[in-house]
Amino acid sequence: MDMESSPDRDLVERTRRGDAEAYGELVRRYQTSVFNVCYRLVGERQEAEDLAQDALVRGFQRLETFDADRPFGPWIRKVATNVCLNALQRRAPWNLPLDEERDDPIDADQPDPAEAQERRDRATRLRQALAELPPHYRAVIELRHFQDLSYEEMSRALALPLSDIKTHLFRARRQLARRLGAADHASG
Amino acid sequence: MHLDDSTLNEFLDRRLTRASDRQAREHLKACAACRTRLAALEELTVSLQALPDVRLPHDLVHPVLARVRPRSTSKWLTWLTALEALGGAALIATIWPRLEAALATYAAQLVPPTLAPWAATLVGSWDSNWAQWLADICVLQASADLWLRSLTAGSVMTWPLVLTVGAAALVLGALGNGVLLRFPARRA
Repeated sequence: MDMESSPDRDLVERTRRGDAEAYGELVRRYQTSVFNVCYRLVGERQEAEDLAQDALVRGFQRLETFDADRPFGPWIRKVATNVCLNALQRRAPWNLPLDEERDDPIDADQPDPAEAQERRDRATRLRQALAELPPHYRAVIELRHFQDLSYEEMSRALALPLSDIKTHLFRARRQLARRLGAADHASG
Repeated sequence: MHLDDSTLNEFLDRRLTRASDRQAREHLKACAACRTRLAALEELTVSLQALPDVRLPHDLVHPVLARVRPRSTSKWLTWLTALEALGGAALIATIWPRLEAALATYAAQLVPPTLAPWAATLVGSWDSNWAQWLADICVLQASADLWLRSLTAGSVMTWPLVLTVGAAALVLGALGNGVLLRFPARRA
């Protein structure tokens, strides 16, 4: 079986036996989703790309701890989340302007131009509102809405009590909704 | 009395117990304000789920592989560097007598007359050391010749052949370094 059609599990096993090219195939498969986790969390493209690279290297270094019976994608995205949270904790101010002009969303279909523009504007407002949240609020939004983790899994991933996770989540949603409401009001 | 934020969020995430869930549903039937708040949360969830992934600007496979394979690279470099150093030393030993004679001619014209005796002593000292070193090398060479003849009696193993193999190793070393420089890490 060639590398491109190998299941993730085989690639993980081959990587563990010292075949770095097999890890290259895993990187090829998951680099976009890992980059997007980082981009949503740090809000800046170049830093997101650097952190995605760090996360994929960290994934290689910690592959021994990965349970091969589970899917690789969610695991490597959680690694990326932790790498980004560590980076955010080291960084003092987090409100960086988004570089939306160069954003190139991956569209499955090609709607008409007006609809496409409206989608892009909506995505820009949402990304901007996300980038303005404090890092721990961004983290719970990322884990709950984009990685589909349960409250308990979020509690373990962020090393926070369940009560804090609940509070962070509803406050993050409230702030996000308010910012989006203000942005919609301003643009409408 | 309205549903509090925590209850509303847990209702949205389907985390309430069966009894609490039933109570929340009853309340929502009767309370337009709470239905509006829940609708806003649901709209936010839909918006987050619809946020498209952004295209990754650069492929991360080679930079990541370059960072996860440093051990094998450094091992190769060690061997190649040792081979190149050996080749370089052999080359210098071969051409040095001619180079030294040529340099001595120019040096005699450049050295001021007042320093000439000192320079002559210095060059004489070099010559004497060099002659001694060459004599030592000749003794070693003779010993090695004897050893080679005893090992390869009747075969074609000769000193020119050994030197040719050394030169080939030098070329291979240079090529090897060229190959290793093909995939430099992109990160500064």
